[in-house]
Amino acid sequence: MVRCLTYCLVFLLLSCKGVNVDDLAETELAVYALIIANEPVKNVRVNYLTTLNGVKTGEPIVDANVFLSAQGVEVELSPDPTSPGSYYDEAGVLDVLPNTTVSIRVEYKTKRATASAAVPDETEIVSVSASTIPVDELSLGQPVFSVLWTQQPGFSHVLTLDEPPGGAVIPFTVPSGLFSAQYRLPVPGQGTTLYDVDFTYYGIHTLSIITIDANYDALFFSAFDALDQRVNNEFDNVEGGAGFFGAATRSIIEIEIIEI
Amino acid sequence: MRSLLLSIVACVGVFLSHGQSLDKKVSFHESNIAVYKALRQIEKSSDVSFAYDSKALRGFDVSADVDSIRLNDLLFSWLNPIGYEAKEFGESVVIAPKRLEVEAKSPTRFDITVHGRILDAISLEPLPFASVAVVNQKVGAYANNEGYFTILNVKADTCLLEVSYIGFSSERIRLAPDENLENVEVLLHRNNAVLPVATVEVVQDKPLLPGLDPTSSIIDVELASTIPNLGEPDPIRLFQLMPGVGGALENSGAFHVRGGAADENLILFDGFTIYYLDHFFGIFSAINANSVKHMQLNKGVLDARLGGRASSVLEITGKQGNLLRPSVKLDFSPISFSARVETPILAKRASMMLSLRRSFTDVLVSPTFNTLFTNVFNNSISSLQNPSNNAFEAAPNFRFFDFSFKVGWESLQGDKLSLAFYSGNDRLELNTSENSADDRYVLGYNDRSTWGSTGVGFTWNRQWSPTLRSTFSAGVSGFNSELFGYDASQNLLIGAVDTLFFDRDSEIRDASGRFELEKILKNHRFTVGMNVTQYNVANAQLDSDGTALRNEKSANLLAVFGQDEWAFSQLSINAGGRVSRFSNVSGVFVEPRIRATLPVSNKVRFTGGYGRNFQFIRNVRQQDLLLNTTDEWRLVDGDTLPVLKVDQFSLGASFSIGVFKFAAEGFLKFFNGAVDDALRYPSLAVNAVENNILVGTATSKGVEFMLSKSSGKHAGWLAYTFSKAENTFSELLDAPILARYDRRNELKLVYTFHARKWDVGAVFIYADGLPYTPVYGTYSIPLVNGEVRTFPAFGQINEARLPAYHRLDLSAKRKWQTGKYDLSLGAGIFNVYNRVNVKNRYYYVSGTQSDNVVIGTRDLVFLGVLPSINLSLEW
Repeated sequence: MVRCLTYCLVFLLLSCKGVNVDDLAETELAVYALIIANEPVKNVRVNYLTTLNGVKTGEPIVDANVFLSAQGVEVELSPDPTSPGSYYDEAGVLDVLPNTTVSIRVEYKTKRATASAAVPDETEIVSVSASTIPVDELSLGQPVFSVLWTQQPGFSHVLTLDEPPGGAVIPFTVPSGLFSAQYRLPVPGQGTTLYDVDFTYYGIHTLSIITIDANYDALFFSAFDALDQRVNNEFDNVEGGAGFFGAATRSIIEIEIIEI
Repeated sequence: MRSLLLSIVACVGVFLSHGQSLDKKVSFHESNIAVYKALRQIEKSSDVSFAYDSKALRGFDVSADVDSIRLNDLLFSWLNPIGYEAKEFGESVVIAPKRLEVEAKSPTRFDITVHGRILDAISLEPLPFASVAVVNQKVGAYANNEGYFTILNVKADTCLLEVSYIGFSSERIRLAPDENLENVEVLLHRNNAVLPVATVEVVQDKPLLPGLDPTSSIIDVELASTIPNLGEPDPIRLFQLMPGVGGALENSGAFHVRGGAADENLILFDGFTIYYLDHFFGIFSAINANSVKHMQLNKGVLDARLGGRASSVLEITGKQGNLLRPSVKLDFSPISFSARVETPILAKRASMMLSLRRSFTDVLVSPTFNTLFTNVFNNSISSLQNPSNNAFEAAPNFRFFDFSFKVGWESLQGDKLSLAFYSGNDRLELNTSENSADDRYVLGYNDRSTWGSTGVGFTWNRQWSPTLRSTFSAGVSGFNSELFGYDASQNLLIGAVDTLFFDRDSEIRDASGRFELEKILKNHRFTVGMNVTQYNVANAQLDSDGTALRNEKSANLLAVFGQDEWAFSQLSINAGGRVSRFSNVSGVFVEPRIRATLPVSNKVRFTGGYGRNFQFIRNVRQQDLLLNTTDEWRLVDGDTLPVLKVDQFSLGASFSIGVFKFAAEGFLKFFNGAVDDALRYPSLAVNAVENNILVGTATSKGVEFMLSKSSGKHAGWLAYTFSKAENTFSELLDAPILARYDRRNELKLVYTFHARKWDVGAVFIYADGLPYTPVYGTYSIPLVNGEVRTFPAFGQINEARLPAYHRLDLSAKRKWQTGKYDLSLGAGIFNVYNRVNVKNRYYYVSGTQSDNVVIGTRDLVFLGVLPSINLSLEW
């Protein structure tokens, strides 16, 4: 009986095996895409993970099968020869419209990663202050531009400001840094105000209001907890892999800064 | 690893030996020598081990000048004249007062009731839950917690009773026609050759008992000093070596019973609740083995009289004190000192016991303390990125103590009154300072934590008649945990000091009263009673930024219960239920419970049962210095914190073959209202879950096996549990996830060897690693402005397992008896082969997003190899 029991125990002990995570970084897919309505589909990225402790950097995957579907149409994306690991709608046949759903499917070897995202409605600009803005020393630190839009529940708004290339530098302003790298953190509300210190150059600027899934906020705010350096990740919405798949709409306002 | 497991499992084979000590031939040439000295001489000259009360034998001298005489004959010539006799138990020979065997006369009374009491012969303390069986008749009973027993339907007044208690020699007593059968007193002697631990179902090789049938494990605390320990005998860790109880956490305070969380175990100590069960972050039990008489873990379908927690009830009966003579026991370990004093107050009527244990770790840093504290520090206090630090740079000031006191009085009319007090707490202070990077500031960090439990309980037992008994108890108890941090920054240029502090305080207090009435009628034992408890919990937060919060809540719990233990033919059934009302939640909570036992022979029986338990207080967060959290108890409100409901089904069988006993039991549990601490799930964003408490459902299922050998020089048991515990928290995932403490396989092998002056013990534990949420690696995402950020790629929650846990502990104890002093010196090695067992795996971020983000791992590990030593002196 003891022998029988021994065999049973050894069998049971050896039968339990957990997931071996040591080599998963080299096989797991990471997928990223931000699909913007009414714009060409591009820069859909697929690559391996980087191993823990940065021992091995995640390599781009150039021969995956990447499918994107919208409005019932599925298109296989093409690898971008200029950017390894990136895929795009080479034929330009995919038409992503506001207020719809867009889905992605990535197949590579035995892996299959999927995700879908809601495309927000077009952002309705409710009001814009004068878009031609004269600035001088007296306006230093003053609000010079404001815009209001219609808030969509579940979506945030990311603002980018493209300054005119090669424009003349405004001599008396000290850039505030709020628009550091021409980018403002996600805005949860329905409007924003710009100050003259947000502008570095004279000329025509392009302010983009990108309406995007609120999960995108987490890309900025929950990447780490700076205090105890514990990691977390709440935006990952890719099944069968890792990453973020989002959809957005973009509204553009032009602002011209002129000398008095 | 496989070969190691096979070798250890195969060790079961060594249990086969069985000796015949009394038949040995001995020689003796001494005159007028004290009996106990003569016995010691025989022990030295031959391979025989005696168990006796040296104090009781003092005053008797013996002589002999014989060669090659049978030991039995020599002992008879010495002991018979002084009213003692020698009996053999395994390899030990027990010398005990002779019980005059009454010849089986013709009976005069038939179909009688026998009532009596079972006591420890040395101290006259009652032996709770000892068993009494009528030989050759399938009737019997268990004693109650005061040692009283009643057996109905005994055929005649000349029957033979067999009385047994874990760790004591069994006695056979012949009833006599002229004997008062309403007051049969049975004295049992301790016998070290009998393994003092048992699962009741497993050890019964005597006729199976109808009536009280606890699906429980009973442990004699003496075993705690025999099996390997960390320098302190630890009764709680003994239970962790039983099947169905998690034993691979190296934490005396957090045991998981059949997939339940640690707070689902109710710890009752002489009528009051203990909310915190360990010292030194789980390294030692807060229950001093010296102060405990009896421990019983009820983990299956509970009696209706027990309730309030969902998974198990651990009943601890404290020592009341020796009723015959004063005694003192002192224990020394590398980190603490312990003393116990027992003394009669009124001869055979009243006694008291006082026990105190205190660490001297705040005065003397022993190598043992150094190792233990460094492990705790690096697991809980050191920052995540540092795998190890010199813990003593933080100038730790740590100490723990516990104190218990019990006084008992017994009247001639059958009243038994006792008053018990317990207090135990820990205190840790850490102070560090460092210069800022620019040498302009001195930064000082000071953390102070205190935590502990206190309780007082009063119990009044009255035996109104052999068939009617009442118990009244009242108690108050509480637990408090405080975490205080004070940081100072001194500007070296101008001398200004800025300070910051935070204070977290958590406490729970209760006051309870309980009344229970037990009546025996024919084949029924009825129990009815009620239980009232008032709870108060408070959680407070005070910060230097002006935050001052205090959240206090109170509620009361009223429960009435009733059960009938009914024996008919071979089958015995225990059926009953509890009805509870908790003031915080509307409605009435009904807990039906039923257990059945069917013996098919003297060796084999089957059991089965169903029971429902409700729990109204929850420990939603454990103390964690790393996370800056205190233990936090909350009262359920039916909204944010639900009532926990657990339904348990069990089915088992047990049988014995020779000296081996085997038992197996399967269980299936459904939890509704399970909670967990969201902070324990690193893949969750902070504040993603309301109050950081996850609420959901859970299931636990498994099979437990136990093979034991409880007599002979070689004794021990092999316990194996195959189980699966899953939770479903919709806030995490819609699908079930493995519970944090799930262990698919857990094997425990306990071995003891008793030889003359030596006790040797060995424990081997193997368990699958705990589940954890892995990070596979990292990936980078370009933001809309072209920046690139790096993020971790988490696997599914708890999908991976840490490496398997296993370790081997060894111990040996040498005993001396010098005059009235009993001295023992024990040594042990914990984790003999220095296995690096992983407790938890953390991930941390280094670098910055603008630079090079790297996610690294850090394993928190359990203790490595650790020798220990302890010294015990008793007189």
